[in-house]
Amino acid sequence: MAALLLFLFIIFGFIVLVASIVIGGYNSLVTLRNRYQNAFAQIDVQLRRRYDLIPNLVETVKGYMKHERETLEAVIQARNVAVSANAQAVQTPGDPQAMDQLGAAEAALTGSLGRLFALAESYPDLKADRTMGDLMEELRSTENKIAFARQAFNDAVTLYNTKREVFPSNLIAGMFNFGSAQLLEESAPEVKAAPRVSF
Amino acid sequence: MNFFEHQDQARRNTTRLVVLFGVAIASMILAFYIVAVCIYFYSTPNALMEYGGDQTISAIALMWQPGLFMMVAAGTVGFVGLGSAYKVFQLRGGGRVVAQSMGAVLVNIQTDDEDLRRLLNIVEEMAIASGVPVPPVYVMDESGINAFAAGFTMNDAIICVTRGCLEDLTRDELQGVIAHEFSHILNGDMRLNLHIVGILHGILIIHLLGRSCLRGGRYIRRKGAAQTFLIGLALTTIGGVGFLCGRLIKSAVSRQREFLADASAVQFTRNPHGISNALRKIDTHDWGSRLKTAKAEEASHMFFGSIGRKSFSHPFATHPPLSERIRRLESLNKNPEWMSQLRQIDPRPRKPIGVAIAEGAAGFSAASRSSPPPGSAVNHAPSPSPSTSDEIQVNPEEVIPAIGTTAPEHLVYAKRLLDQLSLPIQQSIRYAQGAKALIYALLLDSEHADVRDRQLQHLKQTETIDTVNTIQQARADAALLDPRMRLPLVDLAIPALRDLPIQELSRFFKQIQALVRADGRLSLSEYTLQVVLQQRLQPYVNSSKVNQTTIKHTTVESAWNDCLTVLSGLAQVGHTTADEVNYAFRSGLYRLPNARQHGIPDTPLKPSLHEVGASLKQLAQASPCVKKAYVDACAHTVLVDKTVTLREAELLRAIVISLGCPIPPFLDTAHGVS
Repeated sequence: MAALLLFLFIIFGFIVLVASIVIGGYNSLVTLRNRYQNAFAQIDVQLRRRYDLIPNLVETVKGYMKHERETLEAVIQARNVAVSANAQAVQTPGDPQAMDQLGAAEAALTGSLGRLFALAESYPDLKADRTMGDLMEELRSTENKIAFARQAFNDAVTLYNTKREVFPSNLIAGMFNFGSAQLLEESAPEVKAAPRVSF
Repeated sequence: MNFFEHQDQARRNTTRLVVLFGVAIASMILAFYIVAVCIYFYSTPNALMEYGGDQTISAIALMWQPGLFMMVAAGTVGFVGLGSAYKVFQLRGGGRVVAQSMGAVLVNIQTDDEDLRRLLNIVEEMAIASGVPVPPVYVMDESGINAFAAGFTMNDAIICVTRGCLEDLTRDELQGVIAHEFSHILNGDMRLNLHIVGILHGILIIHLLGRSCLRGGRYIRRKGAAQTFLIGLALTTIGGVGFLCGRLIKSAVSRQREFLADASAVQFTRNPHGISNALRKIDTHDWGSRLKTAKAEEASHMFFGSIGRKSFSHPFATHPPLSERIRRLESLNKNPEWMSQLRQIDPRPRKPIGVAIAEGAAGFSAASRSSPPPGSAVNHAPSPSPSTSDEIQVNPEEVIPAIGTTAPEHLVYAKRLLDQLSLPIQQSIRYAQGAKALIYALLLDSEHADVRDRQLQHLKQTETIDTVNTIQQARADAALLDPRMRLPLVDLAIPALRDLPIQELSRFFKQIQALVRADGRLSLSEYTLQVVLQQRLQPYVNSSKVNQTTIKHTTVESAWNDCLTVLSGLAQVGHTTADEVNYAFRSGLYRLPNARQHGIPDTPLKPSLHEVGASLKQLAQASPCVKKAYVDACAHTVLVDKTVTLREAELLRAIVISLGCPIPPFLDTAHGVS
C-alpha cells in the first residue's frame, strides 16, 4: 500500500514537473515572439515615415530635373513595391518570405534613391534648394532610425530563434508550432557599394 | 548596468536584507525560548516534579511550552518592531535628520569662507552636471577625513563632510570624494542605508534592554534578582550576537556598494587620481577617517571611509581596506580600455550600426557630408555641421544610458554655466527672497506682453512693492539667459528656497500656480517647471511624505492608458502637422515592450494638460525597470524629428526629472562645450 502511494506520488510529481517545464517554455516562447513582433512595429513606424517623405522628395526634385523622368519613376516604383512589401510584412513579422521580400524591396528603394542623389549632384540649383536640404536631412535621420530599429528587431529574432532551437523548448516549439523567424536584411547585391552623395 | 538596473538592484538588496534580518530575528526567538524554558523550570521546581513521575512524556515534549513560546516570540518581535518603528519614524525627515543627529552643521549658502565656498561650488557643479537638486551641505567638526550622503530620494538627500576634508584635501581630491557621495545618491544606495539603520536599531534595542536589566539587577536585592540577572544576561548576549549578525549583513552589502561608488566617482570625473589620492591621504593622516562622535556608529556604513580604527580586512568592516580600494582605482587608471568602457555605458553594441551605415546598407546617409555618428550626440563630439543656436543634437538612444550618471563634459559645462551667471543672479539665488523672485521671473511670459502684464498685475496685488521690484529686476536679468538655464537655475535656487518657512513655501506654490495659469493656456514647459519645483521642495513642505516608497506599477501594461496620454501630449509639442504628430507618437509608443499587443488609437489622443499631469504622476510610481521603458518612449517621441529645439529638449529633461530620474544636461554639441 505504502509503496503504491509512493509510486503514485512520484508519478504525480513527475507530471507536475513536466507540466511546469512545458508551461514555462511555452510562456517564454510567447514572450520572445511578442518581443520581436513589437520590435518590428518600431521598424514599421520608421519605414512608413520614409515612404511618406519620398513623394515630397520626388515633387521637389521634379521641378529641377526635367529630363530624368525615368529615374524619378524608378524611385516611385521602388517605393510602391516597398510599401506593399511592408504591408505584407507587418501582418506576419518574422515570416521568411515576407522578410526577404521587404529586405529586397528596401534594398531596391535605397539603390534607386542613391541613383537619384547621384544625379542630383549635377544640378547646383537643386543642391541649393532649402526644401531639398531639409528633406535629405529628414530622410537621413529616418534611415539611421531604421538601422537602429532593425538591429533591435534582429536581436530579438535571434533570441527567439535560439530559444526555439535549444532543449527543451525546441520540443515545445514543435508541439505548438512556433515557426522559425527570419532576420530582416537588405540583401540585394547592387547596393553593397555605398551610393556616393555629397551635399 | 545603467541607472535603472542599479536602482532595481538596490531595491532587491533591501528585500534580501529584510529576509536575512527576519532569519536573524527567528534565531533570536529560538535562543530566547530555550533560555526562557530553562528559567521557567529553574524558578518553578514544582513544574519539573509534576512531570517527573510521568515517564510517558518525553524530554522534547517537556521542552515545548506553546504559551511560553508565544510570549517570547511576541516579546521579541514586539521589541524589535518597536525599536525599528521608532528609528524609521525618527528618520522619516530624510537625510537632514541623520546629519543633525551627528552634530553636523548646515553650511550657509551665503558663506564667504574660502574652504566652504569651494566645497559648495564643487557640490553645485556636480549637482547641475548630474541633474539632481543641489543638496544641503553639512560640515562635521572632526579632524578625520570622511564624508557621507544620506536621504531617501535625490530630493531630500544631503551631503556631509568633515572639517578634515576641507582642510586637508585639494580641490580634485574633494571632488573625487563628492563624486563618490553623488554616486550613492544616484544609485539608490542611500535609501538602502537608511533602511539598514532602522532595522539594525530594532535588534540593538534588545541588547540595550538586557544591559539595563543587568544594571538594574545589581541594585535589586530582593527575591527575583537572580532571574532579572539571568534574563538580562540572556538579552545582552543574544541581542549582542543578533546585532553582530546584523552588522555582518550590513557590512557585506555596504562593501560592495563602496567599490561601485569609487568606480562611479572615476566615471563622473574621469580622474582616478582625485579619489585615490584622497584615500591615500586618509591612509597617512593622523586621524585617518576616524570620527570622535559616538553617534556615527549606527550610520558607519554610510561614510566615505571606515569610521573606526584604520580598517583592515575582517568581516565586520563596513568598508573594504583602503589599500584594496586604492589598488582597484589604480588598476582602472592603468587600464585605458576599462576607462573607455566606463564612458560607453550604452549596453547596445554600437559598432554594427556604424558599420552598417558605412557599408551603405542603411542607405545613403553616412556617405554624404560627415554627419556625426549616431551615439556621440550627447557626448561631446563637436558637430561639423552648422547649426543655429536654437537647435540641439540629442540622440534618443543616448538618453537612457545617460540617466543617473554624469561626465567631465557635464562638469565643465556646469562650471561654465555657473561662471556665466550674471552677478545679480548669482546674488539672488543665495537668499530666499531673491530666489523666490527669480522663480517668479522665470515664469513670466517672455513672448506675449499681454499675458505678462496680467501676471505682473497679479503679483502687484499679492506681493509687496519691494518684491515686485526685485522680480522686475530679476526678469531683466533672466531675459538674457539661455533657455537651457531654466532647470539649472531652479536647481541652484533650491537651497535658498529650502530656508523659507513652511507657510511661505505653500504660499509660494500657490503663487506659482496662479502665474502659470495667468495666460489661460498652460504650456507644458511651464507646467513641468512647476512639477519639478514641487518635487524638489516636497520633503521640506511635508516631511511625512519624504519616504515615498509606493510602487504602483510593476508592468508597462498597468499604466497603459497613462502612457498613451503622456506620449500624445508630448507628440503635440514641437510637431505641427498631423502626420508629424502621429509619427512622433508612434515612434515613442512602439518603444514600449508589448505595444503591439495593445489597442493603439489611430491618431494620438488630445489630452488636456491636466490629464497629462495626472498621467505623469501615475508613471512616476512605476518600478525602475518599467520607468526605463517610459523614459525611453518619451525620449523617442520628443527627439524623433531631425531638429530638436532647445525648448523640446528641455521639456524632455523636465519630464524625465519629474519621473524621478536624474538626467545630466544636454550639451550644446554644435559649439563644442568640452
